[in-house]
Amino acid sequence: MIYAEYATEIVTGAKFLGAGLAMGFGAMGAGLGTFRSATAAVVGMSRQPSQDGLILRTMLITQAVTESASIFALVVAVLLLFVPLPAITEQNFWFLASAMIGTGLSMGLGAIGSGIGMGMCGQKAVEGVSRNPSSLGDVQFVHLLGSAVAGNPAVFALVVALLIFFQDFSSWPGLAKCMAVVGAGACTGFGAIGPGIGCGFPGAEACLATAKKPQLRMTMVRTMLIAQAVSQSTCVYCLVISLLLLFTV
Amino acid sequence: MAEITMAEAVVQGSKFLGAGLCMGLGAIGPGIGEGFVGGKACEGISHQPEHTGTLTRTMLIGQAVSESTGIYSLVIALLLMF
Repeated sequence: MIYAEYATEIVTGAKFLGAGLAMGFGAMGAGLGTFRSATAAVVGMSRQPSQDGLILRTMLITQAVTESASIFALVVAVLLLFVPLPAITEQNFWFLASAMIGTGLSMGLGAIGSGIGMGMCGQKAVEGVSRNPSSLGDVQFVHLLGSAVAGNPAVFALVVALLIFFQDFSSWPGLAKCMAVVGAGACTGFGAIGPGIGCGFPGAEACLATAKKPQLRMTMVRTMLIAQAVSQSTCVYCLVISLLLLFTV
Repeated sequence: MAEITMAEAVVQGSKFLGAGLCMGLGAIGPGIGEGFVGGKACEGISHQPEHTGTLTRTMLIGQAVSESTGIYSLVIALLLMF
């Protein structure tokens, strides 16, 4: 096989590249998400200085939830760096290398959209609590539900990343399969960006509406879940294509 | 597995990579767009809860149209793979 004498170096290099892709792209999610809750908290505190403890607590909770997508990316990066690989032979090193790249691409890109979406949800939740502090319980309920659904594309990306990383590397499956593995990673990786951001919009509006009118909580949750479910549909298509690329070609 | 030449393997692999990129990048637009529609629908329902049915129906129709390019991406990806 080409460059067989550099097998170990190629796999190690691909491992480092994959870890860099995973954490590099993955940090964009929380980076572009957590600041939103903070801006809403600062504006809210300027309007209602007496509620600053409550607003700060809500902000920290929403930021912790928003951070979760990038924590997945950190876990995958650490996995790529430190988990011992199966035996690198002259047959399978290109397959191993492409799997490392695919893993990193999938989780890295997959964390961006969910981070932004959960951040939008948190922003309006903090804004709503600052406008109407008595609605705290209802807003937190809607926020957690909306953020959980908005974080779903990142979970799909994590599943695909782990499926790629823990494949059977014992034989050489052909160059086509190696490129298919990278394609599977890119598919769910890119595919989680749009739905993640898109699920943030209904979640955000639902949080704000619940804060203004807490009695509308269940109506807003229902509408939010319908809107988020439709928005997630393209992420499901991407997951299906990734699974087909991994298991049937 | 039958032995195929390097050239054929590159062509076959490019099909798979292309299918992945096609569906992956194609999912970005509809995802953001449908979400934006859903957000505005939630806002509208919060202003007028008695019109929830009409607003939800309009939202779903709008989201279905926005989905169309996502479906095109899915079709092309499947054509590339098979």
